[in-house]
Amino acid sequence: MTSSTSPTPSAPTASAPDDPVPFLRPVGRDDAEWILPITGHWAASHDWSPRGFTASPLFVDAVIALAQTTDDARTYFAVGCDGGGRPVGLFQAVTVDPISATGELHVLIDDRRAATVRKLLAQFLRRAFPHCDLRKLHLRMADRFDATTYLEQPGPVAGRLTAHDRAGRDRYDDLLVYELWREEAP
Amino acid sequence: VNERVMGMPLTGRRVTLERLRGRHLAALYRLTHAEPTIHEWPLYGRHFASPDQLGPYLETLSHLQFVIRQRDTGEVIGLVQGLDEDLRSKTIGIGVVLAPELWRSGWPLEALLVFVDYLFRARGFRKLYFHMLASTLDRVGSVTSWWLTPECVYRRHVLVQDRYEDVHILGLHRRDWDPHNHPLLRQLLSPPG
Repeated sequence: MTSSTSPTPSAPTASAPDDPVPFLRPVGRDDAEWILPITGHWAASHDWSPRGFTASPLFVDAVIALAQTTDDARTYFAVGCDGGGRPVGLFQAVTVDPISATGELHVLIDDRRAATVRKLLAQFLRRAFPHCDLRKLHLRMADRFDATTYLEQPGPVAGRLTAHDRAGRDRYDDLLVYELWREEAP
Repeated sequence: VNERVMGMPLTGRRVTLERLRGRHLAALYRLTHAEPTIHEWPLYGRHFASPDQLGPYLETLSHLQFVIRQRDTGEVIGLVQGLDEDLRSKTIGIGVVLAPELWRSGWPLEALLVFVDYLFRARGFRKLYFHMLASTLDRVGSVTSWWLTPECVYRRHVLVQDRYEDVHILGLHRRDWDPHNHPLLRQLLSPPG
């Protein structure tokens, strides 16, 4: 059985600015400046938390405020940056059930800088599992994407949600649901 | 009280759905905190000290929820909830609580079908999902197999009485929802009187 007590807070720590490798850093108030524009594109906001709502600036501010609550074991947020320090995506462990120690992994990716997502996501998982004291995270992804682009070790597929995600007028993608187990995290 | 919501009467032959109100909480508290329902949706083992604490929790789960009232006795026998709605893709999950003594009865299914019909026809959802514990599916599988499609299994997903149970995700597309051409559904959904 897993514990539901709050683990020690573990805020992401940024690398040095000239570090050439991708890195995670805590979410800051200024992140609204890059988050807001990409939430205007369906492809980028694919399966992000708002699930079809048009994200207002106030909503994004609320997400950032939640993300800055680093002592809350029910969520874990980080911004992934490329080697140049430019934001690549917002990573979130949310919808945490502390009793069953499960949660959902949501990502908001800036497609222009997606090349480093896999490394960043691996870093994120290494931190999110202990922070939220989780056994497992679920990630939903449209089947048109190659999971290995995002995941170093795609977990088992729990199933396929048929014709789930609106991808255009009268067009719906299947979603694959990946189970990411803590013991198999990169 | 037979409510109309979004123009639809949420009433079957033996049950009616009512929007969740404070006066329902005492009955729902007894129902959800009894054995064995406390181990199932929506508490999964959580315990609240009073009905007043249950209300806000249910509200965090859903803004689209109705109690199930038995028409002849007036008794609250359950709750149906719309969960995790996706307005872009028009999908939504469904949570159901039912008094344990009715789990083996067929007629409370009517409440679920009324809710499904409401979500498709009044709310315009395109696809619905049901999350079901493996043990629940074992119990009620014969009732679901003719209208729901298994799509996903979350392995060892929910802690129930000190062991992890699988959760099955069953889907239903609106294009497959045709109650008026199905004798049993048509009968269950026929208006009272």
